[in-house]
Amino acid sequence: MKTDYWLYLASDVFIWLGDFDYYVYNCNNKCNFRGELSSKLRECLTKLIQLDSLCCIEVNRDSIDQDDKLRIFVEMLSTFNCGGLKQKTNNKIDKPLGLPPYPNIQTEIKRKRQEYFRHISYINSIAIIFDDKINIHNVISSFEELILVKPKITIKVISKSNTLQSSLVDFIHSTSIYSKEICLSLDLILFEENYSIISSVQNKLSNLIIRVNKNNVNYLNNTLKTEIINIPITIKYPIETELDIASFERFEKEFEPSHINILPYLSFNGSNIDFISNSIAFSRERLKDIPLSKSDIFRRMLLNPYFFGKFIIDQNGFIKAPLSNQRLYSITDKDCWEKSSKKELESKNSIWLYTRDNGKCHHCCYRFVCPSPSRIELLAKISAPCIEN
Amino acid sequence: MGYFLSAENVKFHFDNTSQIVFEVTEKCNLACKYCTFGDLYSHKDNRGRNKYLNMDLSIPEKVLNYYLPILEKGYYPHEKLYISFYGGEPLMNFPLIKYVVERIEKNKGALSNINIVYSMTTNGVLLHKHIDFLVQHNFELLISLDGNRENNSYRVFSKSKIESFDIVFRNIQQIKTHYPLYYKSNVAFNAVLHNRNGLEQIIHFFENKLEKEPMFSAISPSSISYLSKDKYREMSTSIDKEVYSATNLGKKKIWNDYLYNLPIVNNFIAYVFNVTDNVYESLNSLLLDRPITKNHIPTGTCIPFHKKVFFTVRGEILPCERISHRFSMGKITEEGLDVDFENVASFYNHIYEKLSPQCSKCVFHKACAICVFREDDLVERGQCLQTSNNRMIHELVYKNLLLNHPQLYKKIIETTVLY
Repeated sequence: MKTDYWLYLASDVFIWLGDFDYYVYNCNNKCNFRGELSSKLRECLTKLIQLDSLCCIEVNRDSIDQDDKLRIFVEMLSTFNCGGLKQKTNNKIDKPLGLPPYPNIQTEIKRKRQEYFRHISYINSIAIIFDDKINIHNVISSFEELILVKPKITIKVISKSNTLQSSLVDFIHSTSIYSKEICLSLDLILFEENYSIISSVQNKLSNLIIRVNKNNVNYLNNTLKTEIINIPITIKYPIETELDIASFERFEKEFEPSHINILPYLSFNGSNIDFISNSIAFSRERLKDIPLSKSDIFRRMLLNPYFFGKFIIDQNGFIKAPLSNQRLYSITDKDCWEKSSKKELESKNSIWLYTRDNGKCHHCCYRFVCPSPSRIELLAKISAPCIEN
Repeated sequence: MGYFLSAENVKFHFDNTSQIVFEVTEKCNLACKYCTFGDLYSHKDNRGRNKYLNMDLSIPEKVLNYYLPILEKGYYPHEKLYISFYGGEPLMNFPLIKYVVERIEKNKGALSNINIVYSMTTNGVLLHKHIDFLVQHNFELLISLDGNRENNSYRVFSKSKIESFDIVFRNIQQIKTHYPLYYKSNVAFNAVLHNRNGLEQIIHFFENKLEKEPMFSAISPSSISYLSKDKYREMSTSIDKEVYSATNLGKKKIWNDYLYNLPIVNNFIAYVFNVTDNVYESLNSLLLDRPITKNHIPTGTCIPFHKKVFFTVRGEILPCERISHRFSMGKITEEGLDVDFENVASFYNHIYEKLSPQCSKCVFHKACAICVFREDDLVERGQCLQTSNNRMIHELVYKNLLLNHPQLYKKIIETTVLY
């Protein structure tokens, strides 16, 4: 059939295809629309989103008019300033070409070509599970490798002795050379018993996290001694049930120290899956109201911002991937950080790169506008958080 | 005012540069008609003042005394450190090359975390004398050769004026025969385009006679002396012109195999990289929402010393071997390396400050490829003659390019690595 029109997309317009529908998102004006696919429309869109189509394909006007879904798509495209139809001319230069939005990540190209680059540069955050068993010397020695990377370091103290060893103080001092940001996280009891020690190292810390639990949270307001701590403090408040939400709201209202940030977070205890599912569920309609930039979409396409660049060091001195807790290397291994980072990036099941383009969501046309899979969702094994799934 | 660069930035790049380049000698056994140090050009530097000199061993000694302790700390951020030898013809002062390599090799144990690569650009005349050493140390060689005997006829010996082709070609054949693997992996060629050769001829020669895909460049158009302008016009040709006049088969070959040698493609790459917000250095840059465009500073001038530090025969320190020695940014003294990083930062900031009002009006300032030190008088006058506010013209050029080569964007966005 003779083509007489050019069908084109405006700049920075994304189109994703699902099994039965499509979704169009314009990053410039934030307009978006969804529609159903016909086989002709699928064929057309598949061609249009090819990189070498340069956002423009040749079409036949009559065939558009004959296919309702294709016609509606073209109308919507024009209504939302996402593209349109232009009558073909004999002059090639009139063809409305564009450069499709597509990410070029320099180090990823090198990685896929198996060229050398420093995987270690991806590490941006390390959580250390700190207790009596940990070998501080080994941890610090392994940090030598990270001197140019300077990741954020969170020291999560889980000591059972109720007394923070002076080794923690030494550890914080030594770690500050290798990190741009050190955060200390400990539970309420440990904080209460050691707050004077903490105050002695606070100039090395960027913030302090106090973890509370159901049993001690009610005493928090009375006991919290923070007057000599001059760094930002966050209280992490676990929410496991509906009742916890009510308690939290009450607590937040009554809590006096205004300089302390209280952060509620959903906590999965193995038996509250229904509560978690309901809490994180959303409808696809809601997605339409969240404005996204091109880089927001690229992020959703390529990595998981909740986990990317993060590692854990456990009490036994092993580097672990977040969430899966899979042991990668020991901190005493030579080049352990470079090797761990490489292993995580190259792993088929890398949590760093775990996007919605997996499992059930793989077939959904909203997969790259939907927020990336979160920790709680993965812990509770919720296959997709939207109510339509 | 220091808002673009700080002394700390400059020192960091100086200490962690990707390439240390020694101007081994000012002497050359050839006198190529188009040489940038020859009669065609009006350089205002000290090169060749009184007489041409070899670099004294005390210079690399001080340079290595400065760098080796830094490198031995093991925090070097790049994947490779290039130690490069430049001239004149570097092989005319071979003892210096040997000294540098042996000094580094002696310290190899302490530098085990760093991938050190030796590289050299040579005219190939003396290769037969030193090839064993170059192979032994895995040198990356870039040999300058303009094609077959006739194509190469501007490359003549300085004293006898005899053409150099036969000697160089014989030397290359010897490497091919005696060190076939080395030849395959470590030897590359660069040909200068002029009126005695042509792009298709060059490609045909290198592919058929030397089994290589050459790089090619045009005769440099900057700093042509007033008296030589006619000569330059007679000798020079542009790559675009050569591509345009190539046969259909030749065009196809050039677009398939020599894409990245074409200036229009490189300009388009700069456009894609700097204007579209589609390019990120790493996944971490994406995570932090820092596309390459956000790192932009005015003009296409490199950050000082980031890519290389160039040490001249006369002890000057420059950020590149391709800029005039009058822009020297430091000196090698009796005590060692003397660079005032504060001064360098303010010098660059001063230039940026002068140019940024013009750059901000230029629609393609983010895709600018102009080095301020390579454009005549840009530093002094602070005026860019290439400023454009006509988006249409540029876009038309790129549109034409894409209409003729619709696969180009896909290739660039999927596979091109610049960083």
